[in-house]
Amino acid sequence: MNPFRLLLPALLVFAAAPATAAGPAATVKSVTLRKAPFIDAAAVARLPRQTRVTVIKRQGAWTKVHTTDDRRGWLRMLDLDFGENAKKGDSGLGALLNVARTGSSGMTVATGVRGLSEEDLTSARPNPAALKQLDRYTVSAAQARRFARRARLQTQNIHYLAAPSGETGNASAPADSAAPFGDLP
Amino acid sequence: MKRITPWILAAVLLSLPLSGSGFQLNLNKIGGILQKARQAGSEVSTAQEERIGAGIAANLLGAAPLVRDPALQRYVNDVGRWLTLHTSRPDLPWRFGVLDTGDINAFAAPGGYVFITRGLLLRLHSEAELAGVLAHEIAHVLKKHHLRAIEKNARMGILADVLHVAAQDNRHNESLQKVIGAGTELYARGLDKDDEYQADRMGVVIAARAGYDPFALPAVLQTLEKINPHDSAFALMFKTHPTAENRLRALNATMGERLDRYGRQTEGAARFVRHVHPR
Repeated sequence: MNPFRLLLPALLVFAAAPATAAGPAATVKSVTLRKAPFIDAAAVARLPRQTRVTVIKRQGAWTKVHTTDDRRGWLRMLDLDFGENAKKGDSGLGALLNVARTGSSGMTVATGVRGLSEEDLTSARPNPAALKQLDRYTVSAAQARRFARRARLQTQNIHYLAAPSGETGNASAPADSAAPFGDLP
Repeated sequence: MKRITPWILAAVLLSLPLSGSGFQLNLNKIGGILQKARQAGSEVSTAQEERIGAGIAANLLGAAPLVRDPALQRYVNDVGRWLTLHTSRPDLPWRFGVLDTGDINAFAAPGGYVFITRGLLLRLHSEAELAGVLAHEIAHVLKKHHLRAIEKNARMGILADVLHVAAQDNRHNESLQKVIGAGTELYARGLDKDDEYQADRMGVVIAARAGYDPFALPAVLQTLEKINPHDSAFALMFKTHPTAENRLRALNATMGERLDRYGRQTEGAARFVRHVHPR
């Protein structure tokens, strides 16, 4: 067998797909760097809040990182921030920038924006031909199940997550009642 | 992102052209109608929800057409339709589409319409990430967030239009058009931020139920965190959603370690690349 037939797809993966959420990040709180992606894995180091790290890869809830003092280990993915803080550290400036951004994004984006702007949306004329085209791509439940079998996707029965306390409005509305995939715990 | 204050909202509404396509109309009125229709016990039926959704979807497609790639469209429908089988509304006529725009966004419309832009799709790394985005949009449809948003923003109104719609009175096609127009406007304004948090919360579970790594949706949000918010391709999403940072914080609070055991489920990076970046 031609070895390239095996190699080629692997090469394509690396060529076309950017590495998962790689790059610089910062810890959002004081965290324990662990040897393996488990809650009870051995501790490698304690990292204070806003420690800058380089992300290597993610695996489920865990992200493998490389510290500036050359240690490697795993952190909870949601303990990492890839935004402003990752680049600057938090001096309170981030919060100020957020306010400024909110203010400026409220009204000024309508003109001169390429792609699907607010204006494009509000002045859009219906495109019934495209809607018909969309219908042609529809997949039936049976077709979706065949796809899932080929893709080895396994159904799990999991309850929806409750809203964190303090959140208002819709979050506390009664959950869908229809079984099997409706209810809260 | 902070909620847009009412006076800014008012300014936005006032600034909308009053003529043209006929889809710009008074959100307050339509919302009031929906609200009264509900109070009167005549909730919009599923069939009418689908008609409203079809109208809104036609408008969205008027703003950005479908990517001309049947294999890609079919792939996104395969993933999306499979997800919907793990929800309380598996029998809606679900339709998924990739919109041909570099903008980074995703949309849902009542009755089972879900769209992702080419710009967002190309920034994803795996099928699980695609599933996470689609599941978030599916949650908006499940919870009827758009229909609720129209009525929530209402202050006053006349009963007629939505009652006509609710009564499936096809002689009043104009009424349906008004509701559709109000619905389309929502995409420029965004939903309530709690609706977005709820869709995230439901999205990770729907993806996990369907066999995907639930942490792929937060991974997408981390990708979005890295995008310069002043990037024009991101303008509308940034305006209409809470910041990625706040959404991640909310997900962290609600997920805790509850979904950790599903973190080793399907990522589907190779399959995603095969379909989205062929050759």
